[in-house]
Amino acid sequence: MARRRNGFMQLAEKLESGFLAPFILGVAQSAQAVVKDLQELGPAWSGTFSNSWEIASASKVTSGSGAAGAPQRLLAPILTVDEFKFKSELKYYIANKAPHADVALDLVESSYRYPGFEPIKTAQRGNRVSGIRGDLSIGSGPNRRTAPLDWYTTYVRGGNIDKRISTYMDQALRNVKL
Amino acid sequence: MNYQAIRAALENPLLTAFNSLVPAVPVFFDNITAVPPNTTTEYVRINITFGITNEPTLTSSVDNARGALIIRIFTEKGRGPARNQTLLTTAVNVLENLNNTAKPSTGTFMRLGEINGPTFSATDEAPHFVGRIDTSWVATVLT
Repeated sequence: MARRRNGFMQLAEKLESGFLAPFILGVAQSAQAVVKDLQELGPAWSGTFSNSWEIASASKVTSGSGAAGAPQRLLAPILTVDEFKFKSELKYYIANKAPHADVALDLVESSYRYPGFEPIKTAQRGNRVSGIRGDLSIGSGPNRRTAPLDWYTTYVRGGNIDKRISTYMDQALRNVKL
Repeated sequence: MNYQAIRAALENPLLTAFNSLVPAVPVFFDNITAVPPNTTTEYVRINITFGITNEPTLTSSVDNARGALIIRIFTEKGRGPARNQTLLTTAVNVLENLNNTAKPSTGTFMRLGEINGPTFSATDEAPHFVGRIDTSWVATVLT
């Protein structure tokens, strides 16, 4: 009797895993897409900031290499069934571990010097107004920026994260086989 | 989509509030850079950015937009945070009033999200102490 009950439980767990798999993948793909957007939208002079994003779940973290150069794709750690079912609404934590991240995100002021090499991304020229990275009066001035002012706040608070998540979760829903 | 109406719905009450202070505090919006470099004079910088526009909803209207509002207060460095926080309070009060405004039958209906901050920063080289808040906004143009 007990053996038959264990068999039913194992079958139920397998069915549950199979049913949840598209959603678990959908959440992971959403997180990856968000990081890709942030890499594309954000500033990139040497590329170290673009390659310093990390995606963390409750149990695992995947980190960018922090290397200079073109942005590298970052894969999200796959959630376990229990993490997907029982953890709070916050499934992933996305952060940038570059030492100058707050400056690149336009959150704090800093001072800027030419690093001795040209940016890997097209830059806009202008005159620096304040110590905020993107705060340039666009024109023919000596200063440059490789992403517009407040690019990060606009992305996070302007609804684009919701759009990314709904795109991949809709796709996950279409992949469910009943 | 009437971007200018949305911008005006956010900018006008903030401008009025800072102009009503004694002495009035200069406010600079997007694409206005009247601040002389390295000035020690206090001022307010307001940036309004658009995220998603014409987002389909359950209503027939697609004249909806979402975006971010970023307010930075620049005050004299080395004098403590009090003045900066006083000016931030002025801005936050305006945002709270906007959220308490009833939905009009015409014009622009605006709602703001949670306010992130304030965060403060200063550097050795810049002459200001900077306070920053940001929030999300959702607007529907009703006319």
